[in-house]
Amino acid sequence: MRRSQIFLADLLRGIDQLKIRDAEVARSVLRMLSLDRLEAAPEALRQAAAVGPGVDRATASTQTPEMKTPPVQRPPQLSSEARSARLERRARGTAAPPAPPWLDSTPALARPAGPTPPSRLFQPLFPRTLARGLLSATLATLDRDGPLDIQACVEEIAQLRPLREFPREQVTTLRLGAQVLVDSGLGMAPFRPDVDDLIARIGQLLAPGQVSLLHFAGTPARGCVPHGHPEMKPWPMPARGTPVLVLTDLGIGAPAGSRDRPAVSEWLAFFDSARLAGVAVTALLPYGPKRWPHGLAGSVRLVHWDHRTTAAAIRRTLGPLLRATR
Amino acid sequence: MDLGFKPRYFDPARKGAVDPERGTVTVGANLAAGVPAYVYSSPIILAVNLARASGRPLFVAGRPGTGKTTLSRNIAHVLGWKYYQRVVTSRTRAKDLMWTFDTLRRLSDAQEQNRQLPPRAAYVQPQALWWAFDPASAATRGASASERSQVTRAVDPAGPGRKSVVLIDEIDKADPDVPNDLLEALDVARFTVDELDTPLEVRGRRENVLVMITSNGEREMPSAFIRRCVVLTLADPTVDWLDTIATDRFGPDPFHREIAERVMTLRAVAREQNLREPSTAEYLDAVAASRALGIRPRAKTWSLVAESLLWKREDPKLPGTR
Repeated sequence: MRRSQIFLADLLRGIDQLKIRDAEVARSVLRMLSLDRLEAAPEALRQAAAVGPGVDRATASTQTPEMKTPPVQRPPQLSSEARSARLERRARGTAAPPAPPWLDSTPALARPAGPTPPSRLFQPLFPRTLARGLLSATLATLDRDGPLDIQACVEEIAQLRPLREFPREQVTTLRLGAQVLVDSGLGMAPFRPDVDDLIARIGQLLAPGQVSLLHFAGTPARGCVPHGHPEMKPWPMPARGTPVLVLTDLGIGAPAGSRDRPAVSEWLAFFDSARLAGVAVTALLPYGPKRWPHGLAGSVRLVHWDHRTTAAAIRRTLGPLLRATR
Repeated sequence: MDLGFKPRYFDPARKGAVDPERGTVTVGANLAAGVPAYVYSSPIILAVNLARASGRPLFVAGRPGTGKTTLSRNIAHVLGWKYYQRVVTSRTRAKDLMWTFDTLRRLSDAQEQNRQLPPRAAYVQPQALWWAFDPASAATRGASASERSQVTRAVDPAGPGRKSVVLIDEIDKADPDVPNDLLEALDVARFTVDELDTPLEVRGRRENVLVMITSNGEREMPSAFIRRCVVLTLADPTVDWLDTIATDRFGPDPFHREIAERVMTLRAVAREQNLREPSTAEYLDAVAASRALGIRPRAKTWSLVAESLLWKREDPKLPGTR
């Protein structure tokens, strides 16, 4: 039996046993059973509604929704000429109209006093409700910091081996803090509100003093400007084990030929130097994997900075080490 | 009250007061039994009925402070069923909800000279899902008939009874693998205790157990998990809702509503600033403290009450105060 049919059985049972007679209540049932997006659900609902006194329940329940699904109404097919004409009309419609003559003589509006309040329409790339979990998954490191590993103790003692040290369970921890490197290149300009929002979220997740924030352009290896300082300095390598988070587009969005668009080899050299120093670097990219440079995808830790990214996906990307030690 | 369906499996109106105007049912608190009051709306009653009709877990989502935990306790009270609660942490594993095994005590026993080690069942401690699915085998810790004389019986923490509500609280705090590891156990009400000398399959009857799982929405749940649940999303509290709960707890008093209005304002500000929102429980604390200390919301000292019991920030400056 297919999974959707199992859930439709739940729907039918619910509607039948609870004697649902209100369309709005029936819609609530669909939502609660996560069936509201199922194409066949309305038909199933009609069938279920028909199940009642005088209706052969067995017959109704054997008519699967798939059998009764009405044909999908598709829009009429356009000829290639018609499609071209439509595209032309759209193209003309999107061209900027000429400025009206009164525009030059009209004074500009006065700037509002004080800072502009943040737009209520702003939706960060990591949704605020999920940001904590997503950042925890990104910044967590493994440490033998957990409770006593009883199983390991028992194994040693059962084999009459002395315990030279108490084994502890390996757990994920945020106690090592993080170094956050923010790409201030041209390509990241559209994502500035997201960067600010994410830095605020990191500040809520990690204790004060555990986060060092630096800005760079190109790659961090060219030099970094510590937050609040005017001078550029060489990238300060953090202590071994400290996670490094790079908020960057890897230069994808910068103009071609710009200094803000470093070569893949330059990024690889940066990631390699960090790896050799025992520092795990993770880059959060606002662009999807299809746009990631070929030489980097797969060889370094890249995470899509997007509202569809899940903590489980981040763990899959970053956590083979975590999973192996569990 | 016309719900638009027949609440065949769960009808709080039998134990509570119906408010046809608001379309709610209030089931009063039983503080001696640790049961808080709850105001049921029609979607909540529908979701519980649906979970029971389909035998599926009820996944309750909603922002902190919307009364998810309170709801489960009250449902158990209305149904007259046993109640098990397990708060999930980042260290909780799926197995911890079924049973635990005391390795250390077994090792200690094994060190004693001239001692016959009891069966492994002696070191097994049944947990919420085992007690709910099969209290009889849980009481014997899964020991076989020949082993039972050597195993101390376990005591059901929820007392006698065949039917139960199990709350798995804040599952979004758990490791992402936990929901997936629970899939089969919750789907077919069955799991295997594999740390016994002879593995035991624990089987439950879905009609005897209502599993409730809550989430604050801090982590997205696997879609396979959600598909196996009836999903109820609790709306944010309203002034009316808070007022009704406080009135049930303390009796009618116009200043409940005043405090409720202030709580709603603080919730809005906290939401805007992405801070923790004062919860229903904190609202009740504020009402109780205000009643006991005689501090009314319009008094000068009210802001101190609000800062300590509702706002709770390191920088306790209450929004709207100087």
